[in-house]
Amino acid sequence: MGMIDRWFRRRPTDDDMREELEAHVAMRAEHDGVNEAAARRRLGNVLQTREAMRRVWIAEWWDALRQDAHYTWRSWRRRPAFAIAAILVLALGLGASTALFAALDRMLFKPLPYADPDRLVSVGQVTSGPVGSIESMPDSGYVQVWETTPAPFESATEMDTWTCVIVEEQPEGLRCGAVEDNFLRVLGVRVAVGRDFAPEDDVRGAPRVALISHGLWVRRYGADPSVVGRMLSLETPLAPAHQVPIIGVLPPDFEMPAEAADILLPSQLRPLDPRLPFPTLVMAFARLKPGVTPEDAQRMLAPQLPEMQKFWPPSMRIAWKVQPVRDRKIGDAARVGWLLLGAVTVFLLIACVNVANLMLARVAERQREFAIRAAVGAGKIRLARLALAESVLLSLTAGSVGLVAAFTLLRTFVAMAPADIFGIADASIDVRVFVVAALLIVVTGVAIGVWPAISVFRAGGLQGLRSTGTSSAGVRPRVRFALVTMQVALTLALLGGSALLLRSLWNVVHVPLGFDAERVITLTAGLSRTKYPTLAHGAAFFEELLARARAIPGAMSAALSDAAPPPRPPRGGWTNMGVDGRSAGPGGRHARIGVREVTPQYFETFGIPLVKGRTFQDADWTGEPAVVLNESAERILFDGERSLGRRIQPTPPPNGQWSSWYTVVGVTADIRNGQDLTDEPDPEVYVVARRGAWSTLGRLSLRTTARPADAEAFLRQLAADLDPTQLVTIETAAAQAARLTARPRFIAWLLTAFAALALLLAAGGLYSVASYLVTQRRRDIGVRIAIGASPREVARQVVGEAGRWIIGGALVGSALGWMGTRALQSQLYQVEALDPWSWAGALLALALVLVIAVFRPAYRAAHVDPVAALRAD
Amino acid sequence: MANQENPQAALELLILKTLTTGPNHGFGIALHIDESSSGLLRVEEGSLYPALHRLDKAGFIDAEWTVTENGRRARVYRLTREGRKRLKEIEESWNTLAEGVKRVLRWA
Repeated sequence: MGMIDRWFRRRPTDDDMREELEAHVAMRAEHDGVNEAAARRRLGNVLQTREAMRRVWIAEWWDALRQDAHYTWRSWRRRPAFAIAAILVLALGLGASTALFAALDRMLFKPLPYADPDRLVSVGQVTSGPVGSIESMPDSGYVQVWETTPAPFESATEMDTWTCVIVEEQPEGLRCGAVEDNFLRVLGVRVAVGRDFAPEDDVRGAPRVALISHGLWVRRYGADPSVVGRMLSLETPLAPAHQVPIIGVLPPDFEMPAEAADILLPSQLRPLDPRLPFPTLVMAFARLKPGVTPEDAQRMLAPQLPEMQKFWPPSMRIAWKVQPVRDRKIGDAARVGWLLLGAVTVFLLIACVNVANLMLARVAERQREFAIRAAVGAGKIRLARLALAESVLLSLTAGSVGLVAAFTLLRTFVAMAPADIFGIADASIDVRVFVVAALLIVVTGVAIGVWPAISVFRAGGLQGLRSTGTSSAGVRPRVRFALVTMQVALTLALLGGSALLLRSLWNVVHVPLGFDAERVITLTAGLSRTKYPTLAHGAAFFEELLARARAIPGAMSAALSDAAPPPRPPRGGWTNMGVDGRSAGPGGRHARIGVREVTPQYFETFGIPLVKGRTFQDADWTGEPAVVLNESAERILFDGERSLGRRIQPTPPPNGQWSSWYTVVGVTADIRNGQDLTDEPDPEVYVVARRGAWSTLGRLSLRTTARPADAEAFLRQLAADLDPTQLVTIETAAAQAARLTARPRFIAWLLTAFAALALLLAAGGLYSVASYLVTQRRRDIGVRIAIGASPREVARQVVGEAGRWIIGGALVGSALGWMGTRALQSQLYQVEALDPWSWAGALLALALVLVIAVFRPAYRAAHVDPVAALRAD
Repeated sequence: MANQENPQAALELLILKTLTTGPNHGFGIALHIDESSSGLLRVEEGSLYPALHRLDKAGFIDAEWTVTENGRRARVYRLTREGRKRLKEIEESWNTLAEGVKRVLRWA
């Protein structure tokens, strides 16, 4: 007797008990030689005895559950195809939901690791125009206007980040954060080791001290607690390599409220240095007083606006933007998150409906079994519970399979996902995910079991025996068709959404860049300030590199620039541009325009078409300052007037050397130069970097006839010849452009995968119901054929009936899609949410697949043998 | 499960002990207890069957429908391994109890 059987010890039936006692009575009578009545008396009250026996077996709830599980297991073993199909479908739904939840948890749900994070807000000043998204504040404004913390806030702090380098045995390029001394206290974060910044650390000129991230501590110092007091040789944009003592380690889950940093240093804004000509921008964060909302705060700050405005150029009108830290951190990507979560929920719903449908079919099959159980004393509730137990067990098994699948799926998502899905890189199946998965499993189990349970309960079991199994008793097909309708509707919504996204993706991928990205390869190098302490040193490196690059085999042209397309806004940022001969100020034609520093041959390298005038020549490196405009800039600055030969001037100059006037020598076509491929071209001017004096050139671009791999090898070799320790990044322009489509690609493919699977499930559901219908009506169909209906008519009737439900589903689905795709609009590029082509395509795909699904049942109906069908009873 | 204080424990002990002689049906068990105690112990037949089913459910005995020598269908019980272990335990505690009671009675 095996352990399993012992576990599921079979309960003797009431008949067993009755017969056992009768046998006893008979044996007693025979043994004692008395009649049965006397023997029975000896047993006492037979009914009472039997009741006592039965009570022994009346199982506690979990005993019953064990029994239910046992029955379910046995029935699965008898019908493995059903069990496997149902488990797979559910596992797919649960696995995908779990994996996606894990991927999006940090972005959408997990509270940020701060004390009372809902009261933390980012306070920025935004301007209209291209830099509008930068939510910053001039440091001098922060120090002077916010001398005392503004009324809506309990406390306020500021930060900024830059690149920095640990210049030691193993150099390491990092992000450094410059923060006010109260930064961690405002966030409500405690250091893990050592001490926090003190006010005296944050005074201009005080010795710098550093807090390091937990990751850096573990990676670089082996989590050695004696790291406190150790010196760090640090190079920042503000200072060449200098020794900074480590005073503490940040907690493991620490996260910057914006951007990222491995090392924190005091920003030392106070006292303000009067010699600094321009304010730098810092990011301000504040803790709201209890009961104050971000909107309230924004209103309460309004009176300060005129004061703050003084720190900005007059042409830039600013406004306050107060929003929760979470919203700022995640921004627009949250929409993508909700979109994907919505899609996977719909998918899970479809999977549930699908399995519920399968279960109903099974209930119909098991009608007799249930009837027999009812006859031998199982109550309605007991039967309904049995149906429910099966569904819970199903979802539990599927959930376990799905959880295993979720690990793989999550890895795929992480590999596919664009970088702007916050936190996806460290996504893992943790306790939170586990709890959510468990919840989903239970809800799913109940959701798929509730219909079968109700139908069993209503049928009360007994009908099954009275009927002949295959005729009209049991689950009404209407319920099953309603489920199919639901499935079709949801599938159509998914299909429509994915069609829209695919069309949008097509548009994004085929956005004309405005230049020729083929055969262009770029090299970027962040030069170490230790090796290249002055701008001239850095310039020498890149000029030498440029000279050598022009000489490599296959090189057609090469140029340097501060930033290069595909879309990468100019590093110099946007600035006001004045036109010679016009007065500045409200009446004058001032516009904010991007300035890109380039070297001659830039236009040839990128294949940017010249519209009029000329491009730069080598002579421009040293001659009169020249400028080339793009068409948008020409339109804004000159508005149809003659532009060639006129002079323009950036105000204020972005750096000290830009004080002179620039003569317009040419106009080129607009190219995609915004943050994203889908941004319309921004006005932009190109100026020639002055030889040996530029600030930010850090990129070499080369047009070549060589294969990209060869060109890359050549460039790498060139850089290594110049400086073997310099880290460079080499990439083709085409690859960069492709990376910018990562987000639409990810969303489109994910949704399409869901839609395709949903379509498959819908087809399976329809097939199963239509088959069920044909089986159930076999007799009627037989009669109809016997009295002369043609097979074609019979088949048409089946298709027609299924068609009604499909059309119903399509109508509901269109309504669902119409509502759902409004949320999609923000992710669509040059496609309307109600794009007729996408929806028509979705409908067509749906119709096609579903017609294929009904084909076989209809064929079977047409070939029912009337004699066999009528004799079956 | 039943403990020593429970009067059912005695019945369980007798049932298990009886089954060490081989599989038997309820009536056979009652008869055997009756005879081997020379009529001193008379099994309450009304509580015999619930006790048998309790032991069955606990896994100490197994039940099976068989046909007896005189052609009668009977539910025959058989001792399981757990049953043997259980019997040893109750026997020991029973002996301890009996010894204790005997000593107290001597003192009185």
